[in-house]
Amino acid sequence: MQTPGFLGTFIKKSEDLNIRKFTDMKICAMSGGKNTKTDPLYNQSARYWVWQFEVWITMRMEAFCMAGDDDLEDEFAAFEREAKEAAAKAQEEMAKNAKKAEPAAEPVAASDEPEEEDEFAAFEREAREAAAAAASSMGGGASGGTSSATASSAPKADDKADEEEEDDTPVGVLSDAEKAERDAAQAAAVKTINKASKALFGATSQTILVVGGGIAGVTAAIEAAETGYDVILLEKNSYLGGRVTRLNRYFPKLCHPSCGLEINYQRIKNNRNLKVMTMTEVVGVSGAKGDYKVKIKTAPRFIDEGCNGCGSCSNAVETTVDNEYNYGMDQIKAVNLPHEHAFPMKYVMSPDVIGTDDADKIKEACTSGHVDLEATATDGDLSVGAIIWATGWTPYDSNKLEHYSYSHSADIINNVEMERLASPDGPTNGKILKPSDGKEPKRIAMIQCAGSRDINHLPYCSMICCLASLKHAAYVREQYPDAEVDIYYIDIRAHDKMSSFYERVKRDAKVNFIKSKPGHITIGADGRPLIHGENTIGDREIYDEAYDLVVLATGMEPSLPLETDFEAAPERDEYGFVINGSDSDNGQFAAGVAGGPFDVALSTQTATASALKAIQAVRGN
Amino acid sequence: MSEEVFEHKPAAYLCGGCGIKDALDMDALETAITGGMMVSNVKQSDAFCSGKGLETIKSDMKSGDVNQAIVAGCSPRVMVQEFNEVGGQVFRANMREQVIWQQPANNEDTQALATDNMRMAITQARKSEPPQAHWDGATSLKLLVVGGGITGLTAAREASKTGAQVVIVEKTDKLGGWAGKWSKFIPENAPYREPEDNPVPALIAEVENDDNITVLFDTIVDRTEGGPGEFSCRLKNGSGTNWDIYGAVVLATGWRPYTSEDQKKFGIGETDGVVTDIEMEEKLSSGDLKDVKNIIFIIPGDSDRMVYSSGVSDKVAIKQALQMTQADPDVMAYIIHEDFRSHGLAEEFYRHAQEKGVIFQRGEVKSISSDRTVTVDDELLGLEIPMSGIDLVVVSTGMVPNSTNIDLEATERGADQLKSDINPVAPIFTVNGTQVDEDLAETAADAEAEETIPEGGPLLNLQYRQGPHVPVLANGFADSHYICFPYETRRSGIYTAGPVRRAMTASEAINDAQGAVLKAIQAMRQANEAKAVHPRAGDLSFPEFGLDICTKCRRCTVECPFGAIDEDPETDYPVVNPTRCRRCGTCMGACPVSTISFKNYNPAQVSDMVAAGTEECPPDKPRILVLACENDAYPAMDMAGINRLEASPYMRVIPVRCLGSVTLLWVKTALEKGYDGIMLLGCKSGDDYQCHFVKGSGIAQERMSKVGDTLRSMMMEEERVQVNEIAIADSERVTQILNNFGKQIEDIGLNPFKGF
Repeated sequence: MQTPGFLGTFIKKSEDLNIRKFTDMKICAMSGGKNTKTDPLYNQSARYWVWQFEVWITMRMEAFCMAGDDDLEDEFAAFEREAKEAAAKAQEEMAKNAKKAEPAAEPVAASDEPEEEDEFAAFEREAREAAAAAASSMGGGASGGTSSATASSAPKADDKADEEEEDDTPVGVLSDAEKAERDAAQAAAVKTINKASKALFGATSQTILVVGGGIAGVTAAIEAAETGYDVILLEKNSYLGGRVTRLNRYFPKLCHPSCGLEINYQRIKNNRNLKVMTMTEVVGVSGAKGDYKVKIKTAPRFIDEGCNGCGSCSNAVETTVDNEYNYGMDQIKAVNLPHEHAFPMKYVMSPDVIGTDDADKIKEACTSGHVDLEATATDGDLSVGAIIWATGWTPYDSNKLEHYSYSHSADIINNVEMERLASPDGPTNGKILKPSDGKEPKRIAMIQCAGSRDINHLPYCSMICCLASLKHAAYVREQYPDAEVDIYYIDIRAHDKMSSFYERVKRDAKVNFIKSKPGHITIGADGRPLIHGENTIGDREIYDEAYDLVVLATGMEPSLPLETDFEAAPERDEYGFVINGSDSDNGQFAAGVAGGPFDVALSTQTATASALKAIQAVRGN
Repeated sequence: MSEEVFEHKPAAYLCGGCGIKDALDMDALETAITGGMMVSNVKQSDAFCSGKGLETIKSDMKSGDVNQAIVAGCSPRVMVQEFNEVGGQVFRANMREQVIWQQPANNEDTQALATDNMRMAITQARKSEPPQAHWDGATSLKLLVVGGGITGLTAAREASKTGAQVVIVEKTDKLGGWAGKWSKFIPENAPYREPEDNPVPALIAEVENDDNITVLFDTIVDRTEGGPGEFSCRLKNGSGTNWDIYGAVVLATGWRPYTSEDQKKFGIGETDGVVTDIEMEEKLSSGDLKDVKNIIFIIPGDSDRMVYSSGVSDKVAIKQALQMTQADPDVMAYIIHEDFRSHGLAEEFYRHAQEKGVIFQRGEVKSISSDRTVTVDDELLGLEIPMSGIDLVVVSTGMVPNSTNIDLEATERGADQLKSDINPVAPIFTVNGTQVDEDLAETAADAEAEETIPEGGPLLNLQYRQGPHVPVLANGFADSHYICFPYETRRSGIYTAGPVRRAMTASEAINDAQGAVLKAIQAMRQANEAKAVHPRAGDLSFPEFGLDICTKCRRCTVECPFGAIDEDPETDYPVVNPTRCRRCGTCMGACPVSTISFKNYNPAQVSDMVAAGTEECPPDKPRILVLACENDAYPAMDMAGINRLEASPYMRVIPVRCLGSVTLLWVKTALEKGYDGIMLLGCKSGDDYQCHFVKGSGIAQERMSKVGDTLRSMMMEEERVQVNEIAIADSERVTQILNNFGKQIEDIGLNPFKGF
């Protein structure tokens, strides 16, 4: 039997684990190799590794003993010899390295302290001068001040031969002259850059108010807070996340919204500039940019801030209420954690419980005394410098689409309900089942523009519905390899790179696209929904198709009511979307769907932009 | 480099609230802590997260007797704000979500799990020091904007309004870019119906009169070193080069027109009266359209580049058609299209055009004769219709992102970098890795082969180990891969905006520029305070390299997903750029000699935690090590606890910053210390990757694929080490996976090295 010797195995294993070289170093350390560094971490890790190495050897010896390897002793002697050689070599190299190894480039150190007075102005002037100097040395058209150049203008390049093409080395090597040039620029820059924090992050006592804690509001709030500004985030629900936390996955990546929300919640938890108020709505706005007075109303949670999320209150009762999180598709305890990813992770009680026996049971169950049955709605006033409206959207009321018989069959649902059906934490634990009888659907229809692009309902295009339906087709096809999906559409609006997603779904032979806006839906004799309409392509066939499940791709309406009695209401368009406006007196901005029908990527984009606009407003710009 | 020696003064706080004291023997736990774990300062309370309990920790910290609080209670994901305020390092032993909510009360195994969790947390504290800022010196707060089109101009103006100094680098000799040439704009303002005036001239004037903004014409960025807060850029123009230091970069290099081969067949440049929509803009500006009475706009959709910009092309066609009919009501304008993509509020524009008599025809253009008779295969009628008497045919162009500088030669070194690492037409997989349709894989492979690699040289010429380019997605768009985080490029402090990121209208680019500026200013601020940027925003820890045992193997420099580590051109040693670093620890996981460490997260620490998890394991009990991504898998496990799903009591769970930070040392330690199985839980990798650190999860899988040999040579079964992809919503699935793994390990039998 060709058993590799102990040493052979050892070395091979070392290589497998990429530990060959480090073992050399460990041996070096074992044999008294001196470490010139005083870094405690190094010593710690070296000691640790020596110990690891010993364990390793012991283990190997044990293994070989068990395997009955007679040559073990010889091999070990050979190993020792090799190890000593390696150690000597390693030691040599280490000595060499120790000389070479310099600490990583130190950042430019703060130079001589500038005078205290007028620091701010001095900074601004210097920075301008430096910029102008830089520009003039480039022969560029510097705008603004023409003050004399400071020392910050770096020596001009001589345009000589050292204008070499980039070489192939990982980091292009600069000539000594070039390095000197760079270093001079760095040194000159130090003067202008150290104090800049005061200019850029200038103190303001004003706070930014973000109304709405969905993905747009959360993004706007945390982006502004991480830039150093004070932010208050209001959310009407008892938890953040808005509409997206109730989605199963996002298009086009099919990733779960809670993934990005988790990151955002972590950012919120670790940020001291941001204050979150849940169950709170805005009831009045007055004042002007820089000094808005906002009246707020906070609904009673009946569980106070100290709730630690233990759940004993919920365990104490059996009474249930409609589960709003699942759009009423199932029931939830009357005192509950709204869902598994709820942030803040605090319980909330339905007002229906007040005055019933359950109320006392709940109060009793909370041994730490966080139940407050006397809680009432509270009013509050906020003084803020800017307001970001991130009030999001409401699904267009499916009942208004009478011709689609939404209320006549449990198996005619809308797209937000479809998300809950597909969600692991939804009413069916993520299994797409017919609501009528809990059976698996085999034939599913999706009807696009259910309410959108329709002057009787929502005249505009809601942007997300086509892509959501493509995503729903993917949900179905993932769960049911035999199921067929028909998508009735006017235009598939897969904007920019979303068209790739469309292509991906189109490749699936069991997903059919029918260019037609169905006329109406009836309920067949067997109870299945029947879709009636005319195919607009080809021979204009009239169809009457029966389905197990019909999903109406309903659109988005802005949640902020078009009519408010706010003294200083944000500017709105005819549909109620908030308009940013170009007026420099405006301190109210839109983030996400409050400002227009957007998908999540556009919502977070507009939210990030709104954070900047709000920062400018509180800075007085 | 005066490094004070940190003296560890730990204290353990055992929270009995939330039912913990009813399920665990708290006094036994305390005895174990004061005994074997050698922490003498132990306190118990019914709630350390609030009131007196929290005050106790605060006053202990204040007294100076304690600087590390090890709190046994709820998950580290909750009560974060509360414990952030205690005034010292806090370590959390998860006793609630992952112990009492998932295990039977007052049970030997449950107690053992709780004790081990505490021992691991104490070990974590012992090998942890409070992170300190890597510098307190100067950083630059000047913004470099590359590109003087509408995106760059907006970025500069907005940054200036927010207090920053700005330098705009413009490749040509004037500002405004493409948008500056447009006769009118697509409406972005209510009521979204009429073409709007071009705002660019006013914007240029604003920028030119802004003292905070400097414009450099005919200039490119020749070289970029450093990172956020300290980008050293060498700018180059006809009269020479100049170095300056910038805090962040907004890349607003825009786009260039694309005309496909198919479009050329329409006779662009050959047939008289057939023009592109860009040429049409010039005609509209100059008013050179008096004799045009019948005009056809063709929106072809033949390639990705065309389709990607269709949302723009369609609106441009409406705008131009409306401009024509407004100028002369007798003009007949036709728009030939496939799916018409006037999404969102642009539907108003579309409807308005219909009301104004613009004819929209769904179909494909079959041919255009020399007299401009356009034959359309009308999809709705199912007929080929020849349309004659046409005075002008306008064909839409696509938008190619300027993610490179086409005026420069492509560099060999950057070639690989320009391949998108995401295939946009990859088959649709589920989170569970099951493929919808096998045929899709083949078609996807075909599509991949057709990928268009951007031409030209680098825009910033980044002196990064990982190449000079800003990484791109499919078709060269320098966009974020994340839906939630649209500005996250893989180069910290460099934010892309406008059509270089995705095809968008000029009006949309204005909003996009504002977002990018916010991120740029934020990055400058974080760098100024030595803090990490997204997603570990505010983290002060950073990787430290023990160069004396570094073998220059280059794994860290190669694997860093953000290109934060370079190689010293002279010594070959790794050089970390702390402000580029996102603190994921992938370098730490890569380092074969484990000489990369964070003050509060390092190889020795987790290795000791691994050991601590099985220190008191009876020889007949299984132990399974779970290294779980703290962003997704660990929360999923918490949520399993919230749902009270029963889990195996033999799991010892350690959250990791990213699966990419997992080093083989930990796996080895685990096997030596008698763990019977090791489960690594990370995020989805591959084309639709969900790893917040881009590659961490994939890299971990790659690393672990090599563990099999090692296991075999240790005479162990390969199945003992497994990697799984877990999404955050998988609370039920993760429990199943772990429980099944537990069963599998039971079948294989216990680790033969157990009890050494």
